[in-house]
Amino acid sequence: MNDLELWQQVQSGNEEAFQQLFYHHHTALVNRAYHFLRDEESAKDLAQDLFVKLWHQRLDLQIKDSVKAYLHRAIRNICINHLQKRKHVAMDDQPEREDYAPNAQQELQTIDLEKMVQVAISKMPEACRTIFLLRRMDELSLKEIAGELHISPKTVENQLTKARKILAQYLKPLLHLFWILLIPH
Amino acid sequence: MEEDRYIDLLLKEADAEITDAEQLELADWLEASEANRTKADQIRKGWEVSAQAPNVISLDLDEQYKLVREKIRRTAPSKSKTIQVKAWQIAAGILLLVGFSWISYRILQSPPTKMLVYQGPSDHLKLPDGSTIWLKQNTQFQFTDSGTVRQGRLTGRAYFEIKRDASQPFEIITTLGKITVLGTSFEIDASNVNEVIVTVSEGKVKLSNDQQETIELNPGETGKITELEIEKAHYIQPAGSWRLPPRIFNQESLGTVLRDIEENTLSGLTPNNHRPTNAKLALPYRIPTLMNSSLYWRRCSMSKLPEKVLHNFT
Repeated sequence: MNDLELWQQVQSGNEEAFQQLFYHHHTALVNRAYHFLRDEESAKDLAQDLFVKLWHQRLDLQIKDSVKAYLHRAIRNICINHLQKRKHVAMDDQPEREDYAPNAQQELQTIDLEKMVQVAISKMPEACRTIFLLRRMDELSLKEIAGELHISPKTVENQLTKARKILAQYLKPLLHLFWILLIPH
Repeated sequence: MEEDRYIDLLLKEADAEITDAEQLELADWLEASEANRTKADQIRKGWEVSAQAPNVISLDLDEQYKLVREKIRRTAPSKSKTIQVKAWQIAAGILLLVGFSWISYRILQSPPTKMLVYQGPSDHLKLPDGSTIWLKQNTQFQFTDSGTVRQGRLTGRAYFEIKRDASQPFEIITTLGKITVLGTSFEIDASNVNEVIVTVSEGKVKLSNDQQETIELNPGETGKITELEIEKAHYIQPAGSWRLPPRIFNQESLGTVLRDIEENTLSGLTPNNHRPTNAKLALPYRIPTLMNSSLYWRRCSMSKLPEKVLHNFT
């Protein structure tokens, strides 16, 4: 049974179908939330809450194209709301935080590119990271991000420049290490 | 520092934010050495990786599902609350239905606001609200009843006996002003374009004009609305005397005729001059000939009775 068929079963009150949908998507949703929040417990809580809402509102929700797309959009919006509530401020230009760069060398315990990129992302300031993830993972345009976060496109552009700088800071030492490894001993 | 610059350019290129000039600069750098190209590949790969969301958290899904079930149980709306909400919804629905039906009933029951047009001369015309009107020749009266106000538009001269209805005032619009009443009898002479004369028989009448000036008239009083002002007038013309049936006198004394006129149409008219009041009418005489002259009644006195009348007395 595919996701849409499972969803139809869920709408008619089938708990087993609901459990199957949960097993299909929960891990990905928690991880998606974690990338935004960098807080494992909050990520788990928000993903659970999404499924709770899904069950209670199953009769009112109309999911026609993709259950996966719906769930990922939903967790993204839940995370954005959560971040905005937590900060009590809009994700506008925030004071520059420079604490990401000096530790880059220390983080370089491995040459695993994927891990290094994740470290770089985790070191981005919250607003900067949120905008970067919306751009990279959701492939939203500057205008769409601005609309989602209720900020100006110029602010989005500034934050993306900042995100690229942080990423560069973490990729640069990796290049040197990579180059050293290429030198025959 | 140079390397920082090219890493930045590579990331800008990957994010499609690079300018043409920067693109050329980057191409030169890539051309310069194999090492640069290898570094560039690493940077591009890093950029690609940044779009992935690897699962960094592993979960016990059974445990997680239990937690979800528990949250669902805790947050489920209780049945009694659901029933209560449904009861309210039903009650609200019934109320809405009753309200809508009542409004619809009122709309259907209320008389349609249509205009009735009456043309003079006409006697004793009954309006739909029970009022009675008399219209002189060349008079037109348009009447509408909206359910909240009875309204008429008058050109010419008419006499009104308005049926009292406190909830629905009666308004009569003329070219120079408005006459408002609740229940009363009065005459309006709007046959003259320069003035509207209102004479009250019973009750109270309010006159108003476009300048929001108003006066109230009591029984026996006359008011005048002109373009410039609105004021009480001192006419002794009886209200609606023209609508009375003709009075025919034959071999009656002048005194008898005047008393009759006074009783039936005009108060305050007493013989006060040299004319003998015991003179008898030589021929049958129709009073309407006398009544129809408003000019006469405005300046009426015994000494100015028209010769046409007096020469009939011997």
